[in-house]
Amino acid sequence: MQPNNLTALDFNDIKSSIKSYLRTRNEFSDYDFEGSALSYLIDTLAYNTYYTAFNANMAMNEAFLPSATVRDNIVNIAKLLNYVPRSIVASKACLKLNVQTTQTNGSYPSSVTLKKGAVATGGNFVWNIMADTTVEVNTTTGAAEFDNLAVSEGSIMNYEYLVNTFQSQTYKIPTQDADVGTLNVTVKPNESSTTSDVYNLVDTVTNLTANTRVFFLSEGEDMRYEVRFGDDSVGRKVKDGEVINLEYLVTSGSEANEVTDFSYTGDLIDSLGISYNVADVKLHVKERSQLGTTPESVESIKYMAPRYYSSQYRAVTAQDYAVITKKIYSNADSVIAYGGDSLNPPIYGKVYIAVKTKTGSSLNDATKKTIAADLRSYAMASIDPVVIDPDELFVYPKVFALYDTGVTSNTSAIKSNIQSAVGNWATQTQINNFNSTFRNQQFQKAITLSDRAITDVSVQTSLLKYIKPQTNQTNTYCISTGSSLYNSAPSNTGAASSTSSVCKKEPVILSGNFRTADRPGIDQQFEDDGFGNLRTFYNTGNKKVYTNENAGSINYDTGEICVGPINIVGAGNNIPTSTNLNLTDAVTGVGSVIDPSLLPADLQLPTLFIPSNSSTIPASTPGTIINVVNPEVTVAPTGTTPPPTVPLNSLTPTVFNQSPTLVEVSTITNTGSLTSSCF
Amino acid sequence: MALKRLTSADLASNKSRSFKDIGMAFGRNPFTNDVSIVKNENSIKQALRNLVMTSPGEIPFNKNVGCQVMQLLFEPLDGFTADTIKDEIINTINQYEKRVQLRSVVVVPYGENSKLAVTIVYQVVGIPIVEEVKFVLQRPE
Repeated sequence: MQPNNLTALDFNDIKSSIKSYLRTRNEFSDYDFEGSALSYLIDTLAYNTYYTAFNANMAMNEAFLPSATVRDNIVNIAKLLNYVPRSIVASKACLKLNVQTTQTNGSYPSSVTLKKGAVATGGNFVWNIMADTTVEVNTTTGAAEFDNLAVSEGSIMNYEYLVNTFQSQTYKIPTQDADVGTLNVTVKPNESSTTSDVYNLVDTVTNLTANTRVFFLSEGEDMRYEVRFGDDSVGRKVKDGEVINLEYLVTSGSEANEVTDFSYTGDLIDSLGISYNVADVKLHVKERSQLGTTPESVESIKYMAPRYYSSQYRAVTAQDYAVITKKIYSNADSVIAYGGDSLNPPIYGKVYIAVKTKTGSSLNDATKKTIAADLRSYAMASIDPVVIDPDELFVYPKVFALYDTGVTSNTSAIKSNIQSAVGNWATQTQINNFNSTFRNQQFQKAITLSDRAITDVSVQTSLLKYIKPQTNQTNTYCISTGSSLYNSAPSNTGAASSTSSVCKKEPVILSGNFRTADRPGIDQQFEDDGFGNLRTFYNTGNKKVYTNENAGSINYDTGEICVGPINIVGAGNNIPTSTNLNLTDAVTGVGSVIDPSLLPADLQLPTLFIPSNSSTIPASTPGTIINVVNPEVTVAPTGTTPPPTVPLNSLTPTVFNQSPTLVEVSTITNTGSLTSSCF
Repeated sequence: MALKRLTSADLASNKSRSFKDIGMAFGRNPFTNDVSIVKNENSIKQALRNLVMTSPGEIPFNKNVGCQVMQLLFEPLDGFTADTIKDEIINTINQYEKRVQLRSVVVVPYGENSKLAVTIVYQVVGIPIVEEVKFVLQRPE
């Protein structure tokens, strides 16, 4: 008989299989009795087979990332994908230290330095800074302030290796509790040398020459990270007799989070060489300790390693740009990238990356340039990454709800129910983000269902965009609503009839207040005439006085609005001070600015307009964010006539001189707090 | 797992009804040059001795098989220990050797080095002959 089944992996199955074979033979018969020598032999054979089968199974399982269970094996497979598991990360806290320096020979020192190392204790942990920090001293009061001092929990360790090229050396960080984010690698030419070279961590071998001082990091056995150097082809090789110094923080990770009480223990010395003790320092805790984490789990490594590998450390598709931007700029809440060829008119050779930050503020030029420069190393040749601010379009809904007086008379309860329903609607639709669409019907339905007393809901919708003028520069500013604008008088063709002259249409665009360089003394606004022209005017109190009938143009079909050429010197409440103006006519505001350098900067001019279709407002470009302004809610008993849904003659742009409060979209996952100036 | 199915041919009448086991000494049969075998009453004797000499846990994945006598040999050698050893032997044989019916077990201490003379008297089930197996239990040196 031949064994016909080789799938048995269990000891008892294997034993049964051997017994069933012996049953077909007549040499022996005692295999069924536990005490027989044959039974002992069968046990040994089955055990041996079981052992081999287990080994083979285990070895094969451990050879593949999805089935491996031993951390060292998982890390080794991830190493092939160039993935470095995240180490333990030290908890960080934000402190402010106020130091009162003392006078020497009648004068205060020019600066005071906080030495690297332990700065504070708190929660049975030690808190360090990783480099000396120097601040200036106020020469009159002698006070110095270390603001936004980020301290990390742990103890700073140094470990040295003497390079010996005659033996195979690995340079390990000799602990599993090292935060490799704090790792600082320096190499000295020999043991007695006092100068050293700093080596930098790299992920890939691109851009490395034979002399680049870099090191590679990988996780080795038992979670001890290994530092590797180049081979004189990619990266400089360490030479015999050189001394490698590894400096790192050994930390308790997440255990040190949530510490709120700290006491100062640091080492302060001023520019005159005088040390200060604890009594001279006042410590103020700005942020409790946070962001400490445990080492990356095996499940996380198994999940992340193939995904990191799939982007291949290079950006080819637009999605790659978005993923890499998120990796290199941690304050990015949401990123969208699209090729310039999808724009109208197309711009070839550029990829646009719109970044919505976690803090909500726009990126400054320096940050944009840094992100673009960082992205360029991932980008394909000839593709130019351009980081832009999202194009923000605000939807301003005014809600009129009619309620059944027979059900309730508590209008404030209805209002608060409506507000919470709007909040839930916003969270579910994830509005205020890229690729979102404002759907009026869903919005109205959410409000209708918010309270059983509500019988009818009417929503008046207008759109808001900000023009960001450059102070005291003559420019033409264009904004695009992305959709067509409302036609307030379709039958008015603009032709003069025999009985009357040309009538303008009701305006569908109205801007907020602004000041121009030629009329700095009076607030002006602009509106449209219904025939493709913008008109600027000021209000004397009882009449509008038009100052320019051709202040800009509008395309009602595409929603392109261009205002200018115009020289704006103030907008909203951000206006020139009256002492800086030389007015020739106080009524018309005509005059000039005395000192242009004193003019306000960072102007924003709200522009309200009425869309032709207010039931669906989509994002017109991939980089557009539809923001919904917290609605103004009016509640009235049933029977009241609701106001018109088109807000003709009731546009109120001046309420948006300040950026509006948006409906709150609760985050579905905890993205962490990055509002602090420290982290 | 699927095992090979037994057919009536496998269990044909020409199969021996006797007991046949490998000799524990794994000796060589000088005539056949094959491993020596023990049969019938000798195989049962060998099985009884094996059971008593096996400590629980020695057999993989079946930790209950065996007899605690080896551990008990390290207890003070008195009447109580001898009695416990006797009970152990009786229990083990009754549980794991279904071919015999025990008649008596005699455990007699002798000598100085905790030696025990064990005599097991039994009847092979279905055969009206009483057999006896004797061996000495001693601490491993």
